[in-house]
Amino acid sequence: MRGYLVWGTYLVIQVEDNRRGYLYWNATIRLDMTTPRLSDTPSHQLPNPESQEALAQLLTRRELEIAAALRMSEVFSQHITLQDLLKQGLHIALDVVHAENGSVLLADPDNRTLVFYHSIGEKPVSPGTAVPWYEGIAGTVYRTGVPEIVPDAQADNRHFKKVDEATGSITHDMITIPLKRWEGDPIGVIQVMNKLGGKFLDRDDLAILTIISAFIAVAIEHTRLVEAAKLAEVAKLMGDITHDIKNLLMPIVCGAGILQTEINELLDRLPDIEINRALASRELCNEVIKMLKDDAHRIHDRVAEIADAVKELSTPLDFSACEVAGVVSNVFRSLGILAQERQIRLITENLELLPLIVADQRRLYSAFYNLINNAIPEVPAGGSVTVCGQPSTSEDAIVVSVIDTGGGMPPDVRDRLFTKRAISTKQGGTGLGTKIVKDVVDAHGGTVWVESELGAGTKIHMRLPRTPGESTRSIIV
Amino acid sequence: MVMGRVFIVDDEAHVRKTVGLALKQGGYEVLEAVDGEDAIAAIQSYPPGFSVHAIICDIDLPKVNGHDVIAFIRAKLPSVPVIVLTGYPDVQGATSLFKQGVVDYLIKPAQAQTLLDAVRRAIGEQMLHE
Repeated sequence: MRGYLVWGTYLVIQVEDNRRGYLYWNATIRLDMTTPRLSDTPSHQLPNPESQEALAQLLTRRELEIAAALRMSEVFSQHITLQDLLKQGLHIALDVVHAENGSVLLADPDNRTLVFYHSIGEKPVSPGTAVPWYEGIAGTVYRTGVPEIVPDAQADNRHFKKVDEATGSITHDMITIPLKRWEGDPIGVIQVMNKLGGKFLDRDDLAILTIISAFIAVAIEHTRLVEAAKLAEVAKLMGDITHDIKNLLMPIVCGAGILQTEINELLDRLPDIEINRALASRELCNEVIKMLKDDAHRIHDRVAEIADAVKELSTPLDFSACEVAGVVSNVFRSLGILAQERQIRLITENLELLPLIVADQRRLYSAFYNLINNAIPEVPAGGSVTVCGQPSTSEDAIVVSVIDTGGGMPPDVRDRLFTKRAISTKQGGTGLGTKIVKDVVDAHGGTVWVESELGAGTKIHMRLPRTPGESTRSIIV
Repeated sequence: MVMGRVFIVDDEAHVRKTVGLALKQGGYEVLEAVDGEDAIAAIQSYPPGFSVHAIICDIDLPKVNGHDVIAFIRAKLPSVPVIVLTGYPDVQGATSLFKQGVVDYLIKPAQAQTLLDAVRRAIGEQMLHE
């Protein structure tokens, strides 16, 4: 933290991060130290300290507010992950207001929901649990931007009792505060529930929690900006890498052609009797040269597509009649050696029963390649990756599933898999593979969803229309 | 029999090497330049009567970029066909290069046969013009 000062009813805090020896980040947070406006009281000012008792009460609250701000700023200076920062922020919130549970919910504009991003307490809400943003107490606060103190959630018909049922806890009193970007739209809400010690959450608690929520909003926004900057850097790097790879592939592509000409000329010069003997050699050479050329082109296409995915500049769609079995067979050919090395069987089931679909064959190849390539490292030796044609409930679409016998995914990874919140948990992973799959399915107007449990493998299903229609959103089970 | 003399301008040694091998296999004599400055210096040093029949030029070149090299070639050797071989294809760039008089626009990694066809076509068309 750089420093702070109290200026009228505002607390101005400057934070800077010079972890790399230079000014890396410098943010100024301006907090309205008055109790935030409540829905039932349009404007509430600090109590007028007419008596010694009122003055003592005011000073106590000020002390608590500044202590909370200082504790949050200390957390800021620790260079921890956003997840840890939210965890510590919520712990401070519960600690200073003596409450039982707390959650940070972030808006998911694609699905118009508020998603529990992080939750702490004795009975926390599972990460990824979503509630509609157009209803409920959280939804009201998110939409209006006005914090609320609810003294008895059970008596409030907006309260989602299903969340209580899922966690096994009962929410009594609750404070919900919007998480707002600086001069921007809300990005979610923070909720603190059940004050301990037989008391109820009140306006003093709200004032303190407002400070903490401002820090949390800044942290989330900062993380998003850093992610966006990182993505821009990755996009630039990908452009350079793509160019390098094109140059590096030049000797392979060009050299394969030169070799083919040389071999053919050489074999053609042999006497007739030797030409017949060399027939098998000629075929082998031609096959290997074709493989070199094809794979070089695949490398080129895949690198270009990953670069496109990062830049969100996809090449134009090229729809044609497409046989899924043929596409999968090409992917198996490319990944066969990798699977063989790891003693993993690549299997197809019922693909030949699927009807022809109109699809972009290159993109479809890319989607299957990513799904299978991602599955192989997760499967232990002796296991399998199966691509299976499934009967669809609709004649207008096909369903293809990629099923592996790997270790499965934890719920938080599974629930984020095909969302913008997808983050690779693999060492060196970028999460781009699943983004490519999602983009391909979206481009075809299809849907993708995942079933996975730890220890029980993973099934990823793609529903693709037989002819591409309007795009639909992904379903997350 | 030498089919003609082709000048390759590319900063990547392995690209010059493989393009050179493909052209030599097709019967062409090959000259090379490692960057834009080297290409301009080489062209300026050609003695009178020395002829180059086609030029294959990269765009992303150090020192002097491909656009400037091509502008120089078009001014100094207007009858020599120029083929672009680039790893950064873009429609706007290609349009501008064709306006500069480039006869073909190839994208890396190009196949040996594609290169040979492009050179044969360029030299053949040039001979027809003459």
